[in-house]
Amino acid sequence: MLAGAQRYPAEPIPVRSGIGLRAAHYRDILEQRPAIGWLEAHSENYFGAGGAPLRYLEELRVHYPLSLHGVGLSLGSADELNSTHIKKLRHLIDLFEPALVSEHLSWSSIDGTYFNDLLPLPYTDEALRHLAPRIALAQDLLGRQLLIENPSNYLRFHESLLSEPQFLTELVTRTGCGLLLDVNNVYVSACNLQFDAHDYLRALPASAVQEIHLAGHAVNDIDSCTQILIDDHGDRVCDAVWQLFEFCLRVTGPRPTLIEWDTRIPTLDTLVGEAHKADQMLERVSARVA
Amino acid sequence: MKKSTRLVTAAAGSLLALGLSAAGNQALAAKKMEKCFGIVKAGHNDCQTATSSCAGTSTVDGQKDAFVLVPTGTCERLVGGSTTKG
Amino acid sequence: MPALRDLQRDFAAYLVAGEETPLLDQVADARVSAAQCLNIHRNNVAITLGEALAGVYPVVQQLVGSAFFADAAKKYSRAHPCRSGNLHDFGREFPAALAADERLKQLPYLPDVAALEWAFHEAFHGPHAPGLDPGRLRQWSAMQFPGLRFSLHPGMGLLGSQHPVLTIWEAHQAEQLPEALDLGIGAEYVLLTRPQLEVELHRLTAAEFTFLRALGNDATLEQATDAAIVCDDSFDLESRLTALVAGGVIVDVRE
Repeated sequence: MLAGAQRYPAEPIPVRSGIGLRAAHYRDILEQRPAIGWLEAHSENYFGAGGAPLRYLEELRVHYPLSLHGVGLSLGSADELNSTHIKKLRHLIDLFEPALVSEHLSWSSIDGTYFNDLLPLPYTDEALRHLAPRIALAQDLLGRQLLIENPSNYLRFHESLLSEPQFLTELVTRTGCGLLLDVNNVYVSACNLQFDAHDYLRALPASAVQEIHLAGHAVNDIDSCTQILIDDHGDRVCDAVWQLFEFCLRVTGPRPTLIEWDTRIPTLDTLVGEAHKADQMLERVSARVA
Repeated sequence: MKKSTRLVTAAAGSLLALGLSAAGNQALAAKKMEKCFGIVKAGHNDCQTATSSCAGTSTVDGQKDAFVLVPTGTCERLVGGSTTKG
Repeated sequence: MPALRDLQRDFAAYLVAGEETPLLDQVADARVSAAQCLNIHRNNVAITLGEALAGVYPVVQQLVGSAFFADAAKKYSRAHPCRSGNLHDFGREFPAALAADERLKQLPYLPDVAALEWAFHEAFHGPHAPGLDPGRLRQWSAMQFPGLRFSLHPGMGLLGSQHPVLTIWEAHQAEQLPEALDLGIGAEYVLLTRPQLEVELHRLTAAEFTFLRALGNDATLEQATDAAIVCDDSFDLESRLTALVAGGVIVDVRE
């Protein structure tokens, strides 16, 4: 491909809802062309040299704006940034010209071993001094701004002297990265770690938030009197998270919003239904802002 | 002329003839091999946490090995042949 | 306060072995114990890696049952940790690990079924390459053909087994597995291609397998034909070669 040659219209992700792209829906989306604003694909699922995933994504990209959402870059790892992974992601970005590219505030590998889970970071000065230059380097190598997503938390480290919003705010200031705000993750973390989700949302730099995620979670009993929320992306968005989303939109303003559903994947209709529910809230908040 | 050489030159004749025309290409297409059906596989990379990850079940417990010593799946329906390696 | 690298190493050790760790003192436990918090990640890692293996090896999983498979996957994940942020890279050595598992001695076909599933996985994600335009063959005379060498599709797979691996694989794609499956039919040879989106599995004869393997090892057309007719005197080169060109298995030719 020629440098600078564009294969797709250079349009931003619209301030509407989109859906997470899953192989089970490839054909249905192409046949039905549902009225959704955009699609988000997990970058690593398209790292192969060829085959069905890439062919379907090419077809879909013609019809929908695209966001690439990575899970394996391991930005928070004490290892060197994985240059193979960066190169594959860069290649994918060049091929598909996504409007947004995002990754997680987490680590997933150490000493070259990958655990393929979004593992928690201590929110310390040291972690900040480590992470900020790595995000800056990744952005340089990818030629793109990255959005960094807040993870679901199941634990916190004693040494975390900064709150997650403080840590994210520092990363934004130091690297110019944007934020992907996962409202379900805020809710899950707030319940598990007992903090106020509204305070969390108010503490974020609203202008840096360029995308919002919504998803369902599971409520598990850890013993007879303690529940823990698991971010399993396996259900509809629950009422409490819809309410938090509405509050969030008042804080950040309307933002492109994605419905994620990864396990017990529903029919496309159900997924699109959730997206339209998000659209209605976006429209309500936009009307109020205007 | 040895047998392989004879076979190759004979095959060359028909390949060359087929390569000459669109009709030849169609004839090639018609000679496609018989195939089994395919599958579109789901990607393995995602960012959810498994629903059962807070249960201490033996299948996921990293500390203890589950007491499973013998395979108990459809292998029981496979009969005949040699049952040892070699 | 441990350095970030030390903390991540402690965390990793706990994920793998679940042993007592200094990490337990680093984790806050307001409602839930530190070990319970950490176990969510430890279990999630085990489940994620196990599911990734099951995604590549669904027939092996059915053959040994999900409980045995989960146990084998857990042992494999410890012995051959994932080295990539892309889970599709995980599981390459699983067939060899199954071959080395003493508990599976009574299932000698299992490693080859696994090898077939890995070949399927690789073909699914492999590169696209256009087949050879047969018109290009016109630059050589028939007399030069014996010395030609062919390049095979970079994404194809080729697998030979003493066991009826394709028959086993096919039986497990059906809604209902037959009550009994005869292993006595013996060796099978498989070619995996992906002409468009879907992986296709072709049953080969021993001679066809030998012929393709020779071509893949850079033999000339004559050398590969020699090898095939040693295997089977009635090897039909003309129809096989045409089918390989038509099927896009042969992608390039040179002297």
